[in-house]
Amino acid sequence: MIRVLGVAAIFSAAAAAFFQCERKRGSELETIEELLLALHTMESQIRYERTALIPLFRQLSRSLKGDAAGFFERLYAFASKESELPLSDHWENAAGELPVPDDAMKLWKGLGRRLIGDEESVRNSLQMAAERMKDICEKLNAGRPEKRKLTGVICGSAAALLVILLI
Amino acid sequence: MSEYETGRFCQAAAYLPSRLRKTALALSKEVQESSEEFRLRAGYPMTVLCDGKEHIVGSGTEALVKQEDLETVCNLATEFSRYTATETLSRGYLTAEGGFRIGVCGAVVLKGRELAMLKEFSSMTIRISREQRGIAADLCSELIESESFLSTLILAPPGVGKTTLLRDLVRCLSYGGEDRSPFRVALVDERGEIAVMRRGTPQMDVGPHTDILDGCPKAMGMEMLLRTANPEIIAADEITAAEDLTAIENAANCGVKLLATIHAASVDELLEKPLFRRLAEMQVFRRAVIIRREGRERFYRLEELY
Repeated sequence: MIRVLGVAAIFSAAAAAFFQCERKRGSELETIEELLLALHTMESQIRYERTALIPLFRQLSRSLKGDAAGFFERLYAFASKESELPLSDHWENAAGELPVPDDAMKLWKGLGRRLIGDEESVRNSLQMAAERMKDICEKLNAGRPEKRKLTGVICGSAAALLVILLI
Repeated sequence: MSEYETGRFCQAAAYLPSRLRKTALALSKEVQESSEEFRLRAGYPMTVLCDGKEHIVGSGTEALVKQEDLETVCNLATEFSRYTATETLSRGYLTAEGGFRIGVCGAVVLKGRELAMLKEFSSMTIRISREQRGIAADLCSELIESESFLSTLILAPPGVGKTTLLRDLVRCLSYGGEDRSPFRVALVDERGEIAVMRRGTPQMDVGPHTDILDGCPKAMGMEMLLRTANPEIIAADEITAAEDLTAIENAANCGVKLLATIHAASVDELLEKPLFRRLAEMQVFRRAVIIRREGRERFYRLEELY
């Protein structure tokens, strides 16, 4: 009976690890999709209404979901309170907590330094970032079933090995 | 009144970097009330303009204005979005929320023969604009004849109070009075200093019968308002260009009365300028209000132009 319970516990832990990995990947993908939406919104707001960045950050913090909304909320708070630092510093500080893969993080942090200058250069920066973010998003989406399978195999094998070794 | 005056001082000071803001807010209430401008020049201490004279604020190296401070003022005024102020910055000023005009000097970037942008700011002037209700109350009735407004020019050198008087005249005309009905006034607020619009709502009282076109060049704005707002009076600040005169003439030909300001100390000085000689020849404006300043007091003199 104890052995059965032990085996069940080990496989439950493996399943939990599997779902944790899946949730993380899902959250990364969701955040990237939301950031992509933010880039499109920023570009069109600047193009059609020339909205300034600070009100735009506030607007995005309300309209987006999850970690992306949190990013814009932090950014808005930093930039409204400590407005003497350059925007790129606030952007980088706020980006530190985003749950995204390294390539997306590097892209996102770099964007903060390019949101200065005239309308055309700001919009170009946003468009380029959106294109690259879209690529990252597509790559993540395409690799997801394979990663899911791989994670499942690793978690299952690890659990089985542990069962053999311990029981 | 003093609470309002110091309140506007504090609002304008919010556009200063924190180091300079602290020294500005440490000034006495009396100075805060009478301050008209903050003047920042890179490498020199900040000054405030009171009663026409500049006074140094603070002391030591802390009081010196750095070039980065001027960049900070620009970031604060444009909310980190210089692209929102490209047009005004290319003409040497920024308009900050609250209706504060910030005059800017720096290195000029030319595109062809046109001024495209200012960069590497070297000095800035933050004008502390204030609403003074009632200053035009007596004048207003003198500008109306047989229930019709007489087109009027407001003349004064810079910093004497043309915009403040214009705002109150618009307010008086728009509200009407016991013995006169209100006028439909259309206001072209090119620099956003008169009505101080914030999300479609004027922050300064320009009356209930006033239609406002915010941030629009005067000539273009006057034509738009003529077509769309059916105004009895069109008001605009600081007539400076030939196209403004053409728009004024068109509006006058449509039977609309005009109210505008011009930089000039007197009618004679106005007529010395070729552009404004044309304005006199057009005979659109019947009256001129000349503002004279003595200390903190302003005196208004009315002259008939023809």
